[in-house]
Amino acid sequence: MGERRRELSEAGIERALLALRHHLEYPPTPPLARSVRRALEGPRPRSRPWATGLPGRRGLAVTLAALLLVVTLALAPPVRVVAERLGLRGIFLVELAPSSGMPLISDPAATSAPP
Amino acid sequence: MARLGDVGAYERLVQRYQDLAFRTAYLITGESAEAEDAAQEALVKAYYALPRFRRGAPFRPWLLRIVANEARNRRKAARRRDSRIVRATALSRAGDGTGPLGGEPRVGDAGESPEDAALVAEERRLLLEAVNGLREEDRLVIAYRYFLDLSEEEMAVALGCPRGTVKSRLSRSLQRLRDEVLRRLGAETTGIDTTGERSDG
Repeated sequence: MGERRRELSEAGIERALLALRHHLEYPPTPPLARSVRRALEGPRPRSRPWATGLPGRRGLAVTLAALLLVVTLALAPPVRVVAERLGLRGIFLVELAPSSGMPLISDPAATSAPP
Repeated sequence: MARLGDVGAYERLVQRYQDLAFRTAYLITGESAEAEDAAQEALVKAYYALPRFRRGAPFRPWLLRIVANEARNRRKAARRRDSRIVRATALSRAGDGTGPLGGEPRVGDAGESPEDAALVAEERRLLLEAVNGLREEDRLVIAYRYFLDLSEEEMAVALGCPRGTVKSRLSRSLQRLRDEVLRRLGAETTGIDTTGERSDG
């Protein structure tokens, strides 16, 4: 056993793994090329418009973050509050009131009360 | 290079990589039928992902990443706990003094005696069991490097991590493998059964 332990340096383990590779048995590879071609020539799976192309949880996280942003911007009443929360200082969003045509949000410098 | 819409060209590409795709899936799922399903599904997904593949980038590790993700998802869905990389029974045949992989009986390499050949086969069995005893992350890193012969650069793409991280992960995995082999050597010396769940000490 002492001799076996001496062989267990990282280099020894690497050599043993490389030697082991030639003695592994895998099941025979099925004819995947044929089956993949048949699958591709069949009806295409339904597309997923929400698919980000990112694998697994990252894709889901990106999708949820994008949805949350859209919902937040759509529902938050004062748009300037949203802009401030997002740290978007200096950006002014103007929405015209349907009846008066007057801007609801304007340049703070123009509307601030005199000292 | 196959592009989306050219199914014939893609079929030729699949023929070139199907062995690697299937073996990678098998290393993760541990079952032939699951591996076939995982590899096929991954190859179909890869076809539809071709528009996002950067021309000139290495195709092999990009494909293996898709295959590995698909195989892992299927294994999780099946809630399989025992996911050995490769069957140890393959090596037990070699340990009987017959040739590896069920070939003709032979003495061994370079004039090796039957006793030496049996000892070497026994060590291979121990090493394979130690590899199977590692956690999935370590097994995959070792399999990519030593069983599937990926370069470090390819492993970085397949694992989705920087190249420098590959070196450190490989080093850590080898260390854990070494510890596992030593643990089993110690257990064999004392006669403790190391099959099944890993025990502490």
